[in-house]
Parts: sequence; structure tokens; C-alpha cells
Amino acid sequence: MSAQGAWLILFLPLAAAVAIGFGLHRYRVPTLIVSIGTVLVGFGIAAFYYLPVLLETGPSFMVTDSIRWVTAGETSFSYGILLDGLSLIMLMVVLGVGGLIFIYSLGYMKDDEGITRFYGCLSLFMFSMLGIVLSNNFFQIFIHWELVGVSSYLLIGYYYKKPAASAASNKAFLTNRVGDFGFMLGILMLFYATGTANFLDMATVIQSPGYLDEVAFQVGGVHGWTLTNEFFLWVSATLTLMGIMGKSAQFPLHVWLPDAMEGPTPVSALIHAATMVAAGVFLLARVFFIYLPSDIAMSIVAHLGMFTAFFAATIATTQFDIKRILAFSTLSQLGYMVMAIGLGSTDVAMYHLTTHAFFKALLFLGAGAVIHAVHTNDIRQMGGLFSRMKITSTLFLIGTLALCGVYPLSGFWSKDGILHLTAQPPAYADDIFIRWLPTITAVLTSYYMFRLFFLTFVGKPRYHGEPHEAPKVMWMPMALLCVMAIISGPVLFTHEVLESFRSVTRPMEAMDFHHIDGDYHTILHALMIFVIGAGAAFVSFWAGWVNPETIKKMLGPVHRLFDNRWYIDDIYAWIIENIQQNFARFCDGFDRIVIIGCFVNGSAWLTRASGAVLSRYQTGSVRTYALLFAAGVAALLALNL
Amino acid sequence: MLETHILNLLLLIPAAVTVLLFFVPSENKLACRALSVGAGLVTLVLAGYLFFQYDQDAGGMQFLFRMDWVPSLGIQHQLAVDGISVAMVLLTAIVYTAGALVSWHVEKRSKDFYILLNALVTGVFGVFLSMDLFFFYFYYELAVVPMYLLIGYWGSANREYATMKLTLYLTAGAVVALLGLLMLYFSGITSEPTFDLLAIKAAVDAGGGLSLATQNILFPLLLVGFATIAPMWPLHTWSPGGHAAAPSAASMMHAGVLMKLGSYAIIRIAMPLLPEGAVIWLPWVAVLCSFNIIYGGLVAMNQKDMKFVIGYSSSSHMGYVLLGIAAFSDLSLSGAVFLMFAHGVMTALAFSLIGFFYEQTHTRMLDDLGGLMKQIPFVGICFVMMAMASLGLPGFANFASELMIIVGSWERYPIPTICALFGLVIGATYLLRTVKASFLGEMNPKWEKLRDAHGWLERSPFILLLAVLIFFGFAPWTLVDVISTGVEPLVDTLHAAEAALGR
Repeated sequence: MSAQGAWLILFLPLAAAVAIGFGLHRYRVPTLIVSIGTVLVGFGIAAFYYLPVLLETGPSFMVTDSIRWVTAGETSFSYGILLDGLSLIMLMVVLGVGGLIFIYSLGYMKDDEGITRFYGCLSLFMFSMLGIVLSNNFFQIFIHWELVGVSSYLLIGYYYKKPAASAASNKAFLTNRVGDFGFMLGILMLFYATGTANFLDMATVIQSPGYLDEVAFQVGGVHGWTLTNEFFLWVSATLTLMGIMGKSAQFPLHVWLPDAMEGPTPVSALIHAATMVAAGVFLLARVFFIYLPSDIAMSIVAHLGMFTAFFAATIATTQFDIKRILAFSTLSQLGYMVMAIGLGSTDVAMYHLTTHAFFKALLFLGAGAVIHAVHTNDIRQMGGLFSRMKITSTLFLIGTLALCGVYPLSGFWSKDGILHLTAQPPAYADDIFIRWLPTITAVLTSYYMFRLFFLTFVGKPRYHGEPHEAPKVMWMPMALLCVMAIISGPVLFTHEVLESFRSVTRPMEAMDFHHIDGDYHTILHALMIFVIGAGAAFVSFWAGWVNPETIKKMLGPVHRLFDNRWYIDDIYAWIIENIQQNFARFCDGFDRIVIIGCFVNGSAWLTRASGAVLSRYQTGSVRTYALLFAAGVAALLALNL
Repeated sequence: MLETHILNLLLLIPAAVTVLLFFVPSENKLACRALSVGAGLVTLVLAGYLFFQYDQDAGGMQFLFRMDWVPSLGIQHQLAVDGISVAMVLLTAIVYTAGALVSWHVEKRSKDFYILLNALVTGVFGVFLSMDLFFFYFYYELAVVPMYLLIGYWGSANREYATMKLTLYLTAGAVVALLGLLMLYFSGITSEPTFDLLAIKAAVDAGGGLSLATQNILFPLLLVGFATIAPMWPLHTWSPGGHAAAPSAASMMHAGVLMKLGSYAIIRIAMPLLPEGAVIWLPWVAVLCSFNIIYGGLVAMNQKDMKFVIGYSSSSHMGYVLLGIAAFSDLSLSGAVFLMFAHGVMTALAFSLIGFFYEQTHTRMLDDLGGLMKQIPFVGICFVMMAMASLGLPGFANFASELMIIVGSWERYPIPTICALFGLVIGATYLLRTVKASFLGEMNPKWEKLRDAHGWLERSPFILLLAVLIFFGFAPWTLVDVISTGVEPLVDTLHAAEAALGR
């Protein structure tokens, strides 16, 4: 198959964004048609590539193309397409979930006067995201990494008149910039260590025999420092991980994601739950070959994911903003995916990415429908919505159950695939944390999700006004997502299917995926986790047998830690205010006082002053001149003698 | 005909308009404006023609025009362009056109304003086209003097101080460089002393370069002289103040083009004629430019006046140019020239936009502004795009050039390159802060009367500059292919010098 279809998928949304930017935004209906149409057409083309792979070609499928972007001397950057199994599955997720959310937004943003601007930004986002999925080299992926950053900036700050929104968008952009700083450094090191930025070529170089032991850098002869390529590889892999931390909101660069909920809810569903934040996981799967050779790098990835999963889940248990709870839940689930890759299985990570995209998008859209109805994000002002919004509530419940991993919904298969990995971790990550924290996190997940569900949909109504069911244009996409959340287990993703959606750059020695069986033991294990978590939520938030306040008091400082998000945001605020700003003030002061004040104006003063002093000797008196002349002669004579 | 005289035309058109404007009655403002804009458009067409006609495969100096002027002293009127100057000429024509358009609203003695602006442009074109050291210096001074008057008369707050400082700095830098140029003239590279740059270069390439000891003295002289204009830390303080006080078109010409003369002169004169000196001294530039990048960015972060933010950011960005020069790989040096172009366009856009609303608000203080997006959406969107270009967002020419510099400099100077990468984080910080403080959030009710840019005439300079940034951001090869024909011979010379020095 040719690459033209892939180019079309990539550039159609850009064409839409450009058209909307250059005047189409004045006309509402054409804008909507163009914006949504390009995504649907893209989905159609992607399906055209996808079906043959699903049915026959299998893992060997690959389409590539490349154009020269810029060249100087020996070095050349190119821009191209790498369409393989991995990018196909990601394309289907991005365009499929994306298409549904584009349609949902028709209802959600109906009364907004800036709806055309909204769709323009969404189209720009689509282009940027598809570029990540289709990139064939590191520089190109970096370009699109930054572009999704700016689309996210524009969409978070969509309500730009709200100070919180523009603050959140700045925070998102800057946090990602910090991540990209490390990312670019990692890319630079990889580029110079392997001589290429192309994924396929780089994989070939790294996997060539003896490459890892080659000496890359030597100081001070035999007894000095000798660094092999292996060392460079794990350093650059760890630096590259910074980019992933930024985009996939892993600890400690996670701070922007909860704040990003200031954007419109469809944006949260599409960008900050289903697609963009998954880009980091996608990249990890794409460049798995730079992580696999080094146990240190793999162990860092595994522990990073594990900690983020646990950390975010603890925070989610204390929040009251419906979207923030979902945001922390997203963080936690992304942590699971990253951990899965660290434990050696890209398959299961991509599997969870896919199922998560369905049920998390569903949950966000459900939350959007609720917010649309009650005009608040605070779950303390909801309650009892089940009778008012039956469709939304049912769909939301199914999404919640999927997220909690209840058999036989999709979350069960993918999440328990990950928990399965943690039961027998590889030697480099075999410790008590990897063995137990993910399971505890799963319990917490059931707890906070059902806490959210009970507070929102059952119990005493605490809302104001007359909430009503969402319109059809909103719940239809949710229903479709719900179907996917139910069947995307073993029905859609059999062992063979998962294997055909691997990256072509995947190293041969990578771990094979063991599809978990729906056996007794696993189902029971998952059910137990669910019952403990959901049961705890039930007794405190629905049945009312336990007063949550007493538990809060009992937990004391632990609760405060969780409630304040482990004080990470406060620490950053302190660093920015006290270190960064003082540095800036210092440099500014130095510029004003030392450079301008002393040197520049000082030399001006010196010139004036010496002029003034010297002009005194211009007395016009012959006697003075004669005296000075004589003194000079005397001095010269004295020196010579 | 056009082939032989195109460079003469580029120089003559702004010069002719300068002279012509003297004879236009000063009440006839429309004529003054239309003449200048028309001249700008013609030079833009000519520069575009030059860009397309320049033979990339042949490379080297093309469109040569030579006429003896004072043969006994070895002075000649000699114009030629290589890939580097083609890019700079194109930049000048673009900024000239946009600047003439933006100045349409200057009411205060607009005739005199345009006379000075055109004289300035003549000087700048002269520097980029002239291949004779005497005229190079002459045109440089021709560009500086109108700047002095433009700031001194049409400038805003603190203009007397700013213009004095700017002129003294630029002249002092030029005098230091002049000393170097005269030493070069009398150094006896060529059998007869000559100002002919091409002849000197040919003699150097033929193995008749100066001794190492002489180069060791001469190169720093030229470097300091030219780097003052670049501006390199700590010689940078003339520039933010100068930018801030100057009227829009002058800021545009100044930050967009005039500042590039310094780095251009380093690339055109100092490096090819003194390659060994360059190899020895350029590591110091790499150190100082890290200060430019980090320090300039941090100072920008603490500014309250918007023009000072952009002013210090310019000095930060020039650090990238200097880093690219210091690393002298094909990639980094092409990137440096490309960034000179991209930054010139970007910063011209920044100052034209700030000038547009400053005319109405009479304040540029970030604390006073805010929420302007609601009132002036067109200018606001352009401003956000300018900020995005400036902070190195892919899709704009600035990103492509900065990427080239960073990748090209990594091998030689890893630590300054890390500084450069970190500078991108700092850049994003102060630019987003500026955007947020001025355009987002709640609007101050006193800005309810602000007028957005309406109609083609008012919008055209912004659209022109943005279109250039985006075009070369998406298709950087179109310009880089031309630039690199000029860069590659220079890099070869320097690498040969490096090998000769045994480094």
C-alpha cells in the first residue's frame, strides 16, 4: 500500500485548521462540517489500512515515506511517515475516539460564541497528534510533541478571559517545556551516538551485535574513564523519559494535568484523557529498543510508573471536583501503562492505552453531561442525579466498572494484564513496591471512582435548578464509547490482534504478551479488589454507616498530605517565587547597577570628569604652561639618567 | 541588464527615494508614504528575484558589479552576493516594506521621518551588498546616523539617553573594528594595499594569510568591534534601551536588521580572513553567548515594559546566533544565518504590533495592560503567534533555525548547547507571561476604546511578516539551501585552519 493515504490523514486536519483560521471561522456550519469531516475521512482512510492488517497481513505490515526537510552539509532532517501496526492502532484510537468527541462537542459547545475557534484549535490538535503517531524520526516527533503542546495550551486557555484558565494553560506549556528540555537532550545524545534519528535505522544500529560494548568516550588512557555506548544509551533513554513525563504527566511533571481541567470538558476527554497524554506511552512503545538493553533504564521506567499510579490515586480519594478526580485517575492509569512498559511488556501497555481511551473518554463525556446539567464541577453539589439523567448515569456506571476492572468489561483484561506482570516482575524491578503498590492502587481506584459515583448519582439531591438529560448528540457518542468499553476485551483484541499491532522497531528479545485467561483465580482476584474498594465507598458515601469525617480525622496528616496533593504544587510555587524570580531579579539588578550603572554610565562619567579636570589646565597662562613644560623636561631627564 | 545592475538597483532605490523626498512638499504626506512603501515593494520584488535567480549549484559570489572609485588607495564600488547575503538582502527588503507600511500613521514630520528611514535602509543594503571594506564601513555609519535622529526626535520615554548610548556604543564598536580593518588593509596580505574584500579573501585562500601572532591580535579587535553590534554580553545594554525608546519602524529596522550587521560582519570579514584567529578565539564567544542566552532571558523575565521584554529577548536570541557561529559546523552556521533572518522578521513583527497598540494606549507596562484580546483580536492573535515563533514553536522559521544551531553545536560545545536548550524554557516563561499579562484575563475598562487593525493596509505588514515566518518554518530547505552554499566554503576554510593548528 502506498503512503499517500497516510499523508492525507495527516494533512487533512491541518488544511481544516488553516481554512478555519483564514476566514472560514466566520461561517459556523461550514466550519463544523470541515472540521468534523476531515476527522471522519481520516478515520475512513485509516480503516482502509486497518482492515487488511486485521484480516491477513499481520505483524509485517509497514508503509514508509520520507521527504527532506532541511539539509546543511552532511546533516539532514527529514519529515516522513512510518505506518506500522503500532501507529495503526493509535490512529484508530485517536481518530475514532476523536471523531466521537468532535461530534459530542456539537452539543456541548452549542451556545458558545467561540465555537468556530474551538473547532479550529481541535483540528490543529488533530494534526499535531497524528504527526506524533505517524512520525518516522525523533526530530519530527519532537516537532509534533511541541505542536500538541501548543494546541493543548490554546484549548486549556479557551476561556481566556478566566484568569485560572490562562494560568493553567501557561502551567501546562511550561511544565512540558521543562520535560522537552530533557527530551531534546536525550534526542541529541541518541543522534550522535547512533548517527541517525530515524527510528528504524536507530533500532538497527542499537541492535547490531557488539554495539553496546563499543567504547564511545574515553578520558585519561587505560586507567581513566571509559564509557561504552551502553552507558550513553541509558543516560539518553532517561533524559528522553523527561519528555514522556511531561506529556504523559508522570511524577514529578504531572502538575499541569489536573489544572488543565480548566479547559472545556470535551477537550479534557480527548486531549487530557484519551489521546495526547497517551503520547508518552506510545513513544515508549515506539522506542522501546533504547530502554530494553539497560536494566537501569527499565527499572527507572517501571518505578516511575508505579509511583505515579499510586501517588495520583491517593490524591484522587480526597478531591471534590468531578473533573479533577478523573484527571488524577488518568494520571494513575497512565502510571500503570508506563509501569507495564518498564516491566517489559509494550503489548499490555498499548492494550490498556486503548481500552482506557474508551472508558476514560466515556467518563469525561459523562462528567461533561453532568456539568452541563448542574452547572458546577463540585460533587458536593450534585447527588441523586440518577433519576434525572438515567442514560448518562447508566453509561457512567459502566465506564466506572470498566475502569475498576470488573469482569468481563475491557478494563478487566487490560488492567489485570498489568497486575499480572507485577506478580512476577523481572529481576531488575523485583521489590516489594512493584509487587504490592499496583494492587493497592487498584483498590484505591475502585474506592475513589465509587465515591465519585455515589456522591454524584445517588443519595440526597444537593443540586440547584432543574437538571435534565443530555441531548442525543451528546449521549449517542457516549453510547458508542460505552459499547467499545464493554467489548474491547478479548472480543476485539485477541492474542493475534494484539501481536499485529506491534511497532516494527520492537526488539526481537522483548517479552511476549501472555493474554490473561479469564480463569477463576484472576476473576476472583479482580473481584476482591473491586469489592474492597467499592465497598469502602459504599459504607461511607451511600449507606452512611461510617462518617467520612471521622476517617479523615483518624488519618490526620496522611489525609492532609493527600488533600494537598503531596504539597508538590506548593514546592514548585516556592521554587518559582524564591529561586527563579530571585535569579531573574538578580540578573536584572546586575544589569542595571553593575553593567549599566558602573561600567556604561561610569565610563560616561569618567569621560566628562576627565574633560572637566583637563580643562582646568587649559588656563591660557603662559607661566603655567612653562612650568609644566619644565617639570616634564626634568622628569624625562631624571628617568634617563 | 537586470542581471548586471540588480544589486545597484537595490542600493539605488532607497537612496533615490531619500533624495527625492527632499523635493516633495512636506504637506503632501501621502506622497511621502506612498513613495516609501512603493520603494519597499520594489526592493522586495528585486530581493525575491535575487533569491530565485541565485544559482545554488554554482554557489559563491554572484551578480558581481565592480567599478573603480579611488584606484590609488584600492577603493572600489564593488557589489556581489553569496548565499548568506541573499538571505540578508531578502530580510532587509521584507523589514523595509513592513516598516514603511507601519509608519503610515506617523504624523509628526512624516517627510523627515521617511527621509531618515530610507537613508538607514540604504546603509543597511550597502553593508550587505558591498564587497569592499571601505564602503562596508561607510554604509555602516550611514545606517547608524539616521538611527540616532530617529530615536532622538520620534522616540518615546528616555529617548535622549537611549539614543546617545546607542550611538556611542555603535560608534565605539565601529571604531574598534575600523582599527582592525585598517590593520588588515596595511597588513600586506595583498601586494598593493586594497580594500577589495574579494581580493584579500583570494589572497588568504591562496595561502597568503597573516601570521598566527597577527591574527591573534586582529581577530579579537574585529570580534569586539562587531560583537558590540551583535550584541554580545556584556556589551548588550545599548540595545534594549534603544529598542524601547525608538519609534516602531526604527525598532523594527534596528532589531530586525541593524543588529544582524554585527554577526554578519563576523561571518563576512573576521572569520574568512582570519581563520586561525577565529579557531583560537571562538570558544570564548561560545562562553559569552551562554551568558547572552541565560542572562538575557532571566533579565527579560523581570521586565515590566513590554518593549524591554522583547529587547532583552533579542539579546538572548542573538546568543543563539553567536553560538551557531562559534561552533562553525555546516549545520550550526547555516542555522545561525537562518536565525538572523527568522529573528529579524519575528522581532520586526513584535515591535510593529507593540507600536500599534502603544499609539493608542500610551503605555507598554504589563501591569496596566491585560485582556486586550477581547478588544483587538486581530492584533492579539498576531501577537500570540509572534510569541510562539519567538519561543521556538515548530512551524515557525525560528524553531527550524534554533534546532539547526542546537544540533550543530552539540558536538563542539555541549555545555553552551545545554544552556541554549535551557534558554528555550526561559524564553517560553517570559513570553507566555507577557502574553498572559497583556492580552488574556479580564480587560481593564479603560481600553474599551481601542481600535483593532482594520483593512488591508493596516493588516498587511503583520500578515507579510507572519507569512514569511510560517512559510520558512514549514519549508526551511528553500532558504537553507541558499544559505548553505555561502556557509560551506567558510566552514571548510575554518576546518582547514583548525587542522593546521593541530587542534
